[in-house]
Amino acid sequence: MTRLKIDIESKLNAVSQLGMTVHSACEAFGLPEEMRFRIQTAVVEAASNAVRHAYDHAPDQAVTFTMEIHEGRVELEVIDSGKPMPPQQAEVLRHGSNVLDFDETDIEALPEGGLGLEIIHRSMDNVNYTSNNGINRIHMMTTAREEEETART
Amino acid sequence: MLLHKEHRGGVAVLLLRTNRLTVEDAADLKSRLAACFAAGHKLQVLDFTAVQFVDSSGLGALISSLKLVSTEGEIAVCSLQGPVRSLFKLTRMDRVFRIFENADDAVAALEGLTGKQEAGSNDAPQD
Repeated sequence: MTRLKIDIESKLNAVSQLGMTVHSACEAFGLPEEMRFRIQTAVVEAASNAVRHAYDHAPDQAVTFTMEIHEGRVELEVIDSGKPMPPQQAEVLRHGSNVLDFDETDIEALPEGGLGLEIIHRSMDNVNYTSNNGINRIHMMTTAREEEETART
Repeated sequence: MLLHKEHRGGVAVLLLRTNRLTVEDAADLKSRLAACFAAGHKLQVLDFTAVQFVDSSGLGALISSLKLVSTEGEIAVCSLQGPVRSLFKLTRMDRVFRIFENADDAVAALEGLTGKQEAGSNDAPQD
């Protein structure tokens, strides 16, 4: 098992740097391209959520990211100590929502917001959110999907 | 965000000069596309050649702009890099946006929509 831990400040440009670093690390670990995209996307959305919503853009707060690469799966966590996520949003992380079940011909009805949590849910195989003793934790797990393994071979 | 604009016939081609379209740039992009629309450029091509990553806020800005422009015109996107194409697919936006391999193909397609726009401007390229 390989483990990576990165602490960033509660700034949006730090979130972008985290995303690029995670993508590079995934490449170095030999993960398939599509899987690297899904991991970077989920991590950026989770960390951005922490900065914007848990901390409400307050500076000098900590966002901690960990990644564990196991045989056949990757475990990710994004941790903050800000305001907990409302329960209904935590449910979107765990179980998804219907925000992307739109009629593609009805442009006016397309969603403009609420996309981030659903993107995390769809990018990962399993997502959980806990908030205990002031510590908020988004735990995500994913495996390489069949088409990604095929693309690599 | 730096946005290079040029006009080809009646179509405005907007080259995104950033490699990441995220929450940091989303509002700026949205306002720039709205200004372009207000200036009469109702057929717009967004060239993503340089963009390697888009987050949910960047995508939201694109959707918002599509809603605005599609009332009287059209937005097409072109030259999507792998991760950006994957996001469009993951969020089903590949079924919503007109996606082209390159700017030439996108311009040709939008120029065919002559009924939606009067004769285009021939403004000089600008930043």
